Amino acid sequence: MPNFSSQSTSGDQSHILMIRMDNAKIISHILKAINFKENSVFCCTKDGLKVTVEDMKSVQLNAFIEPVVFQSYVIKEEEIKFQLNLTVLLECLNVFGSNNLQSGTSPALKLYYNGHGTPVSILLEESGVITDCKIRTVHFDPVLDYDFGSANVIGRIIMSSECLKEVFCELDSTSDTVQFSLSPDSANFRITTFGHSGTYHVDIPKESDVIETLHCTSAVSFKYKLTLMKPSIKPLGIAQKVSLRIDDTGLVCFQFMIKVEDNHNCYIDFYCPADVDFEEDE
Amino acid sequence: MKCLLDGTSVKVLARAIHSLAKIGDELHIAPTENGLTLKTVNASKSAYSAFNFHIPFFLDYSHISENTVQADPDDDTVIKCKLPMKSILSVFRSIGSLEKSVETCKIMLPLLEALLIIEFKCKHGIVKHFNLRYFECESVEAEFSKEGYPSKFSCSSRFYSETLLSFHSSTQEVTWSLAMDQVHLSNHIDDEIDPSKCVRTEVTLAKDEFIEFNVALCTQVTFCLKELRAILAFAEALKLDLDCRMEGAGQPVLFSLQKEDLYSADFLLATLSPALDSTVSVSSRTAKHEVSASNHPSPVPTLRNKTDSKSISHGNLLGSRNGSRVNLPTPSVRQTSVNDTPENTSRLNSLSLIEPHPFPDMEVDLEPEIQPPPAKRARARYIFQNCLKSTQEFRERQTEVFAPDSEEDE
Repeated sequence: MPNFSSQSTSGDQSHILMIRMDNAKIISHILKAINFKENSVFCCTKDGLKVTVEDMKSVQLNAFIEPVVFQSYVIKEEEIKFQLNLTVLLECLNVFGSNNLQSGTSPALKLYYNGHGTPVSILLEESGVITDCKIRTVHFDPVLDYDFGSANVIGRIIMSSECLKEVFCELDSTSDTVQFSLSPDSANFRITTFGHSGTYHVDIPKESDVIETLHCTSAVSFKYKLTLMKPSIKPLGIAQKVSLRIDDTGLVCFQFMIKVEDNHNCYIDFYCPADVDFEEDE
Repeated sequence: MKCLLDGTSVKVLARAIHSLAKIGDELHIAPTENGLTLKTVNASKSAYSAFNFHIPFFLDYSHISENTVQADPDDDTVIKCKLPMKSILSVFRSIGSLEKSVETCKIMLPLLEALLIIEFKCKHGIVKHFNLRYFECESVEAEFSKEGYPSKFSCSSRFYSETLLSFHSSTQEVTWSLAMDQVHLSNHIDDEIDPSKCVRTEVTLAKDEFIEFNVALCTQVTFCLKELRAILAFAEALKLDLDCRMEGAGQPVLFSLQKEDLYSADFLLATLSPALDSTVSVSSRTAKHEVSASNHPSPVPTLRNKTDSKSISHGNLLGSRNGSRVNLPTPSVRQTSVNDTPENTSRLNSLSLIEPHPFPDMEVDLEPEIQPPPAKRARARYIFQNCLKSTQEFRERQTEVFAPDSEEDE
């Protein structure tokens, strides 16, 4: 088992963040799914690591990795935030090849950060070969904080992500928007597109074995820009389950549950606001 | 119209649509009492294809639209329509996923809504519902009969595909030379190409290779491979035999297939007519009389020059199927003399199609398009002589091209 214990020398003292894990593929597997834009904001607290990628100040993907996933997670401040190029980080993490999670050997990772203005250092070791990377951090821009209070949630579905992914992949790309409809009367989750050649609906009934729960307090029908929905497809592909919540303003939140090693779960959240021009589109 | 299909039929339907989409840009849907017909014509009207799905193909079929007060099946209750291939393809895009998930499919043309409704009932109770907009129109018809073709042969679609594998993928047209005991295929060399710079491929198929072989008239026809490949894509996936009927150069060839009483399909492809230059459609009428003197050409192309080693005949390792064997000819090629190919301009005939709706006068207009049959197997040399004689009057009428050259369809 490769590890860095022997290398943990005096340098450790200055690190305000130190993460060590035996399988770096786990983190690259998760981060790859949210890499729809280059810039990412890392926010580390004692509860874990949160990586945020957002676009056009509207769609946002957040990956949460709990400390238990790491072999060691040492944080010396209340909250550490930095911004870096996620694509570069992923390239570094995959320097030994990027085969999938299950197969092949996996490199061990040590990541540390010394505070504002310093680069993030990554040490990767695989069968005795060590790579040392330093990735420049930039001053982070504040990210959107979607206040998704559970009180305002009017629709909630938990379902198999594989099924939803199939539906999403087959959505008519000539349509600008996709509409999610739920109503307490009809027991369906309806996904509608409005393409050039006509209107397509996909109905997933409540009783279907792909739906775990389906609740809605009042009729929900919101349209979303199809292009903004696109970043949700990658996390759907690696998740086991997805929870979909819609609040009364139409803000949709997908939460993807991703199983990683040792029965630990990581989560990815995806937020997308409803299309504001929705009435004019009619 | 309303019909219900099961999973396997949906797959067949999807394959038929994929095959039609390779030929034309618009899909014509014509429900009849005997089943559903899907048709298309390519842009230059040189290929027509129609799939007929008979009633046993469906779980349930009714050609009369719903919501009609009287059940009287007069014409008004049957909607005939066309829609862009793109929209229908978006529904049947992935045959693989249709096969995996779709359990039943319902297709409806309700009278009250101007929509083609396709409903897939999939696994896990998921229902996919497609409302497609269409244009109401009379369906396109090609006038043809399966009778009266002097030559007919059939073999498995696999066999055709293997044969076509010998040809380079860029080959657009192939000349089929029919003889009493064999079919000889060679790629058609366009006059625009320098004959010394192109690859020539020739394959001879002996009579024994065919399931049925009945050639009454030795002839030579040239037509596009593109459509044939689209037909074969369907036929091969469903392991069907393909019948081919031929008459002569300039006359359409008919490919047809049939699966028990479930479905059948006919593909009518226009063939090149050997002619003087681009004025064929007019000149061929005259050419006919002049060339008809050479009524009895030998069944084997006469312009062969076995000593010409410049051109290549490339045979292919065709896998033997059921002991069948493809006779690869000895490297024999046509003479590349200047007198031959460059002057032998050919042009793809247009099929005569009845399309009454768009222009009422269409049928009249179409008349000149129906070309008189050029002399069977007119030898290029002979035409070349014609060309030298009197062509000025034809040249003046060069604008009368009723269909663009097939090459532009790509």
